[in-house]
Amino acid sequence: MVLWLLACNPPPQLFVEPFDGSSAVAITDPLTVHLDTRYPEGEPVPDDVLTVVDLDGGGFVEGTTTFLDSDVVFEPTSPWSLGGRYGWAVAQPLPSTRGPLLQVPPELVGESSFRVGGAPELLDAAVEGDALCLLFSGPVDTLPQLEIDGEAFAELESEPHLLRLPGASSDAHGRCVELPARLGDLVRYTDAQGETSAATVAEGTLTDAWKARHRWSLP
Amino acid sequence: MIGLLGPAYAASPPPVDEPLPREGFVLEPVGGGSGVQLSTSSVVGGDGATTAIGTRGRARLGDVVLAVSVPFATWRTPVGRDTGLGNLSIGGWLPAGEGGAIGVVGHVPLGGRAYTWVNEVEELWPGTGMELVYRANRELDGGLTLLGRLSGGLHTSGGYEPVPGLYAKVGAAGGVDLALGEHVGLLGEGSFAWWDTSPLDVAALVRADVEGFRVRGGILLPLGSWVGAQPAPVPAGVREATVRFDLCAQW
Repeated sequence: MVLWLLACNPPPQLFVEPFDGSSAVAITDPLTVHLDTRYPEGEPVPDDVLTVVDLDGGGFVEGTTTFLDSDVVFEPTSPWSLGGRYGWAVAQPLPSTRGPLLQVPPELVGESSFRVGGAPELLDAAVEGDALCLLFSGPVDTLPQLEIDGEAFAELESEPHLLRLPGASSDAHGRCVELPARLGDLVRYTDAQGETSAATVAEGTLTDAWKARHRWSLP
Repeated sequence: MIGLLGPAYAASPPPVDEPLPREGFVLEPVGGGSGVQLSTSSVVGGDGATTAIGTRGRARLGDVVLAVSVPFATWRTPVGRDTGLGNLSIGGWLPAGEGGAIGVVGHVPLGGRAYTWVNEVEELWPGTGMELVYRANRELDGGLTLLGRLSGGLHTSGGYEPVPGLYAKVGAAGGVDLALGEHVGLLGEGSFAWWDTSPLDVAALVRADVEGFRVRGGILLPLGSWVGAQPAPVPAGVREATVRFDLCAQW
C-alpha cells in the first residue's frame, strides 16, 4: 500500500535543470527551478529569482520568468546561441511585503553554467565497486583515451550508466569502465577530436555527483 | 467595552435628516439610512503603492440593513503595476440589544487576481469567508460617541504565502468620535485582529457632514506591521501607512 502510494504520489523533489556543466542543452530548452511551493499561476515572478548571463558576449540574457505548476521557468527571448556558454543564478527573492511570497529553499540557491551543444567534457569521476564511473557534460558513446594518475588507456570498453531524476525532463549518461582508480586520482579524458578535460575521483557515487550538479534535495 | 455602548441603532427607518452614522476604518456604520460610499485607501511609504478604490452600498429594509461593497485595486508587482477587482463583500445586519447590531459579513472573489492588500487581506486577496460581527455605538455627553466591534470568522484562500489556505480570524476594535460642532468631527480608532497582516492598527479620521453628505479623510498606522508582527519575512520598521478619503451620501 505504501509502495503504491509512493508510486502514485512520488515525493516532490527540488532541483535545478539543466545540471551545472551540462552541454546537452538545446537552443530552445528552458531553465527550470523545480520547487515545492504554492504561488499564484501567472503571477509575476520577482526578477531576482533567476538571472542569466552570456559568458561569451557578456551581459544579461533577456527572457521571461514564469511560475508553472510548482516550477520557476526561464525562457530566453531569443534562442540560445549554438555553442554558446551561459551562467545562471538562483536567488531567494527580496521579500514582497504586499503580495504573494515565492520561497526558494536555500539548497537551490546558487550558480550554474551550461553550454549549448559542443563536444562533451568530463565533469566528475567516482569509483563504484571495481569500476571507474565518469560523468560527462553530454552523451558519450566511446572512450577513445583515458589517463588515470598519469597512466594512459586507449579504446576502452565501457558500459553506459543511466542517470535519471524523477520529474526531470532529460536524463544524463555516464560511462563506467573496469579500471583501477582510487580517491583523489586525476582522470584525464581525450575525445576523438583531441579535446581534453579532467576530473578528480571523488567520494560518493556518480549519481551523487550528478545530483549535486542539479542541487537536488528533498523538501 | 461593548457593554458600555448604548442606543444608537434605530429600530425603525430613520428620517432623511438623521445624522450619518459614526464609523471608522474597521468600524462599520451602525444605524442610519440607505446610502452609498466611494472611498480610496492608499498605502504610502516604502512598502506602499497599493491603492484600493471601494464602492459600498447600504440599503435599509425595515430593521434589516444590507451592505454590499466591491473594491478595485491597483498595486505594484515585481514587473510593474497591476490592477484588478477585489472580493465582493455582502453583509446583513439586525438590531441586537441596546444600541447594537449583529451582522453576518461574507466575501467571495469576483475573478480578480488582486493578490495584495491594503489593511484587511479579505478585501482584495482572492478568497472566501464569513464573519459574525457585533457592532455598537454609545453616545455620551459633550459630543462624544464610543464605537465598538467584536468579530470572529473563518476564511479560505488559495494557500499562497503569506495568506493561509484556511484560517480563523478574531478581532476587536474600538473608537471615539468627538463632534466639533454640528458638521465636523474627529475619530480615533484602535483595532486588533488575528490572523491579520497587521494585528494591531491605530487610526485617526476627520469628517465633515453636510446635508446628507459626508466627506472624511484620515490615516491608519499599522503598528503591528511596524514592529514586525506580520507574515512577510521583513524586518520591523516604519515603512508604510494608509491614507484614506471617502465620500458618503445617505437618504
